[in-house]
Amino acid sequence: MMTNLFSVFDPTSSVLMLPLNWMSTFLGMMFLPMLYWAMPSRWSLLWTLITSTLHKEFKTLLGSSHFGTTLMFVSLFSLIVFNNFLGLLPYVFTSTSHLTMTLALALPLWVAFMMFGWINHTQHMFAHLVPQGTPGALMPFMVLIETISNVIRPGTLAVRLAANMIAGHLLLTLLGSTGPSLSATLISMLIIGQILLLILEAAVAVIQSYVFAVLSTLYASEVT
Amino acid sequence: MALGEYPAEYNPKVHGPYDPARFYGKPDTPFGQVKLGELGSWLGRRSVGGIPSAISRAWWRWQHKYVQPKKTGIAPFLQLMVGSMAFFYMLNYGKMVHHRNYKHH
Repeated sequence: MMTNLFSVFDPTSSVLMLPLNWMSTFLGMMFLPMLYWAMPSRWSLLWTLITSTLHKEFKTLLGSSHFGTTLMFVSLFSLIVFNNFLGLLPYVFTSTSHLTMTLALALPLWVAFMMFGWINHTQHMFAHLVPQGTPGALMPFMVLIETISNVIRPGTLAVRLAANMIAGHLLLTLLGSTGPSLSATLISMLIIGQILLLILEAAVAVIQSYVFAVLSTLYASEVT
Repeated sequence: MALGEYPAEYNPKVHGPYDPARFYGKPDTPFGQVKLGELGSWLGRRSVGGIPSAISRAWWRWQHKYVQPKKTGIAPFLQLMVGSMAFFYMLNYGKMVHHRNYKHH
């Protein structure tokens, strides 16, 4: 049975052909520190450091009147970063490489922001469609362009994350599949190349999750 | 015993603060000390509904040993990564065996 290049992205496991691979989405929960003692452990200190830095960052983006809104975006970041990073481990499934997963994250966020904005702050939303300093003659076109850019936002959020994950994994898989036919010197070069790509992928994993979270924060701040 | 509730045998006045890694029921002979003839009755005293609580106690025992101490290292992180790799290897084994390049895996 010949499987194709994309078989690493297949969520079907071999247990009764059930899509159990999606369980990797919740794998990140096991890495989160659980607070038991009054004195925090090293792990929870590290995690608190990362999340408090993120909270501060998102607070500056959202403005100080919306205390508590950053919680959702920081948890979104942690979900995506764990999924991206754990997907780099051999045999572990990358759920964020699937458009179903990323769209399921991006679309409800965007729809919620749009509905809130248009129902509650309608004039504010209309004003946003024309950037400051636009010449009068260009205004109709600007409205059109801004509307289109608004409408494609969930698509871009979802596709950016999924495509980055797929590209990284595909590159690693493609290079690896040339391995069996190479000579010894070339294999050592290939291994060094693969290690460098893995480090790059780890960085991309973190960066992409950050970008996703920051952009959703920005879209939220535009509405409020 | 429902999800999120204390075990029925837990009594804060007797046992002190709740420890999720401790078993609060009636003590039984440890598995290593059970005689072969008593194995059937020992297994009969176990229940299938107690498996989730056993898994939870094992998880907390691991947490107490590796994660909760003030000064931990990278060991628990690596153990979790290896564990997850092993789990998903098992899950996908049947699919992998038929792969074209299986002998090189």
